[in-house]
Amino acid sequence: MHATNKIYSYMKKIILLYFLSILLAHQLYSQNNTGTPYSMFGIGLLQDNYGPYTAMGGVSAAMRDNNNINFLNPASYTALDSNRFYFQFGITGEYVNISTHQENSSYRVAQNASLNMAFRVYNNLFASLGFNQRSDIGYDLYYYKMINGSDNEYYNQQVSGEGGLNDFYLGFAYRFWNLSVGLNSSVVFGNIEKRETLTPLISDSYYINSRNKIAISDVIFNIGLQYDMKLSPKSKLTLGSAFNLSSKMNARKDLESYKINSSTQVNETLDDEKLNNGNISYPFRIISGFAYDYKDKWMVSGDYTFQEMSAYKEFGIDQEYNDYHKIAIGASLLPARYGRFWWQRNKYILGAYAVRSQIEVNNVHINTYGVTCGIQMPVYVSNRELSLGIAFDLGLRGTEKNGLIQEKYAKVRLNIAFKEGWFMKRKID
Amino acid sequence: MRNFLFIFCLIFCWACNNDVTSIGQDLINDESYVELVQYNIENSATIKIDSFPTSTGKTGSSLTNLIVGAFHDPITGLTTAQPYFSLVPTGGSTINIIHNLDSITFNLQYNGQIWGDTNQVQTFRLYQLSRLPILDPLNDLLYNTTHTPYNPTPLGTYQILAKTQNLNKFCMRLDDEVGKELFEKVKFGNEIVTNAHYFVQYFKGITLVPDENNSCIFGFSSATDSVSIQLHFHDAENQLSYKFTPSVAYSEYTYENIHNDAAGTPYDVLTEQTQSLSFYNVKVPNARYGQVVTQGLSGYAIKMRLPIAPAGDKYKTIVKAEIVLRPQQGSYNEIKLSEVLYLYQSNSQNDLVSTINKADGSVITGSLVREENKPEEERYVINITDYYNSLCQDANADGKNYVIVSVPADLMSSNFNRLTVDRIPVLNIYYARYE
Repeated sequence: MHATNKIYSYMKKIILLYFLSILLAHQLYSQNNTGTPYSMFGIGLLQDNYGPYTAMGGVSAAMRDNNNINFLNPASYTALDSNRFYFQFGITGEYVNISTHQENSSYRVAQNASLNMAFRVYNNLFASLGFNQRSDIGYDLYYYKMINGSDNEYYNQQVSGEGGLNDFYLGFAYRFWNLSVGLNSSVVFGNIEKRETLTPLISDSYYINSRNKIAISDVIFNIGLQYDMKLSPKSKLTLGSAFNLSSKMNARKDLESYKINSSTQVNETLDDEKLNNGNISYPFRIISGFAYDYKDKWMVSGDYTFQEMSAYKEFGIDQEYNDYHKIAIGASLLPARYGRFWWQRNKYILGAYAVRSQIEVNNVHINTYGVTCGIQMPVYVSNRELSLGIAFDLGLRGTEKNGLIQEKYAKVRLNIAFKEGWFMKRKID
Repeated sequence: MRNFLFIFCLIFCWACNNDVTSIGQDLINDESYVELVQYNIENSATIKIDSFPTSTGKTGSSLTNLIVGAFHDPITGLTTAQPYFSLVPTGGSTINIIHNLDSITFNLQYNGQIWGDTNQVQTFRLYQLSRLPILDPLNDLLYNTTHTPYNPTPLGTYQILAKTQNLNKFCMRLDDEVGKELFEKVKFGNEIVTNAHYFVQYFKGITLVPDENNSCIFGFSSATDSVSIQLHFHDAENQLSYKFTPSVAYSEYTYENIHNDAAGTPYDVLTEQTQSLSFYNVKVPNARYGQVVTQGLSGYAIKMRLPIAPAGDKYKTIVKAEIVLRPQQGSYNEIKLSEVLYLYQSNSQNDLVSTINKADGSVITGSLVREENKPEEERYVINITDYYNSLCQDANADGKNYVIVSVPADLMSSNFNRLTVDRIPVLNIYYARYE
């Protein structure tokens, strides 16, 4: 009877996961997730701050605990409980006020969805698998411009794009004394579709419709290291780093473009190109940092991210981006892990980060600055423990200089990690 | 767990249908754009079409309008238009033995078209042809250069102040002796007037000749009920008449002799159709940089060699190509601008080989674009996008890029409108770069 209930319980979870996956897929592929125009560059907007430690400025290199799956550094899996099965869902809702020196508007997007699982495989060997969003593209821009070389004629330019990169990963981590080593093998996949319509506002002319679709799929390896040491009976320091080597991802490119007579609507194919054996480089990326824990109450962490985006190429063409840099710092206070009151068991978090992105437009670097805060609340329900993380991220992306866009955003990230005693043996049945 | 799932769903639903489509114009990559590149068509010249048909032949529909007059145009010189046509007895009141001829007149119906100075008295003479016009054996056509001899003594002479109200009553008194001869033939039922063919062979036809000192050219209807020689007579109670009018059956003999004498103008050098006079070689007052001209009747047309745009970028295409011709200011006070221009394929002989058509088969035309209160912005725009695209894709385009801009060939014999251009014609090419 007990075995039947257990099977029934597992099936419920699998069905739940199935629906969550469908929901994620819907969010990733179907929704009108039109957002930042800055996502039009390259493979889209790289995620500056996500994961379970969003409230700490997105630090991840040296973060390890037994409540969250830190998929950003696979070495951290060894911190998980050995006899628990972990689930973790995360998603960010973002409200953005977008402005130039002339006008402003706003948009809302849901992004950075992740779904992760982790468990111990054997002795000191841990595993995690999951689904994460690596980059996001969603823009739809419609501009009215003067025809170059003319003083009174105009054209409309509509550019839109959607898609992004996602990965499905399987990772393992092993602990040697104080050193943990991890490896995530990620199948990176996704479609990037960019469309453009150029419509000269002159009589009896042609307008252009073009669609550039890139499908990407390949495997990327992400290696993680963490070394933790006790500095004193009450304090602990962890150093961590995770990196992936530069990789060329297989990519297929379809370019279709048409020229359409504005009077007769007769169209003429300009291009119908298929490039099946191309590649897009995913440049070397490294995160390194530290986490200092004092009396299991105070924690300070900081890390630095570097990605060699200057080496980014699409189908052999250098996109002339800059290198990506990010620094993040965060601190948390856990009044009493096993305190009597609910508020004592919560973790209160603050953080900040600064990003110098790969994008440079009109000789202006597109930088991002954010401050974060949040809370992680443990919830105990029968045989499972939940950690509910709510992170708020207030930031500024871009600038209004040189006719560019500044985005003031407010993000809320929900991160739910729960662990269940799937592998615990009952002493009394 | 269900509660958390609900929160996730809320976030998804919250993040829908954004509209930030018009913000951050400067963010767009400069690699996509539409641009206008203007090429001066340096190789622009005036040619003179020395011969063009002015009749419709045996099988064509008869001409509906004819032109007559002479005008000394300071730009293109003296142009004279002299119509020819045959007449047949059409009938009218019966002429009996009791009737006597009062007069014989030539009448025509003004069609509203006039070019030149209408404040001068115009003189016209009507002559009887001494033989029928000789048709071109190849196509039964007659040309602007066709001369048909006529009797040196005019049937009549007429002077008129070329005002509309006068032209509407154009009526020339003819020689009574001729009238009597015709009157007698009708009265006694001579077979010459009872059989149209015999009459055409007998009378041949007439031509209306403008005086060289005339100062205008006007049009008149050539329909059978619009042009006539009339015998006027009367009985005790009524004024009666009998008419001779053009006949559709003999419309092949209806044509215009048109002559342009460009003496005193730069175009005097164009004595053969193969010759051309470059834009830059015309130095005349009021023309700023040079001059080219196209005009009906006188036969002038503008020949151009279109520059071929370089192949350039792979992802760059032509979305529009147009020829722009700007009329010389002040050049169209007396002679109106042409309402429409046609584009013809040319050859080394400067022939109008064929009209150039759009992709849908319709003829490429140019029309006048006017901007309110900006006369200097008046321009003819000829959209040649399809033609130019195919030209640029032709590996042997060089040599095929000669075109002629002209008043429509079928109006060449009936319309005196003119376009004079004193700024170098321009080829506007709009490119779109899209990738």
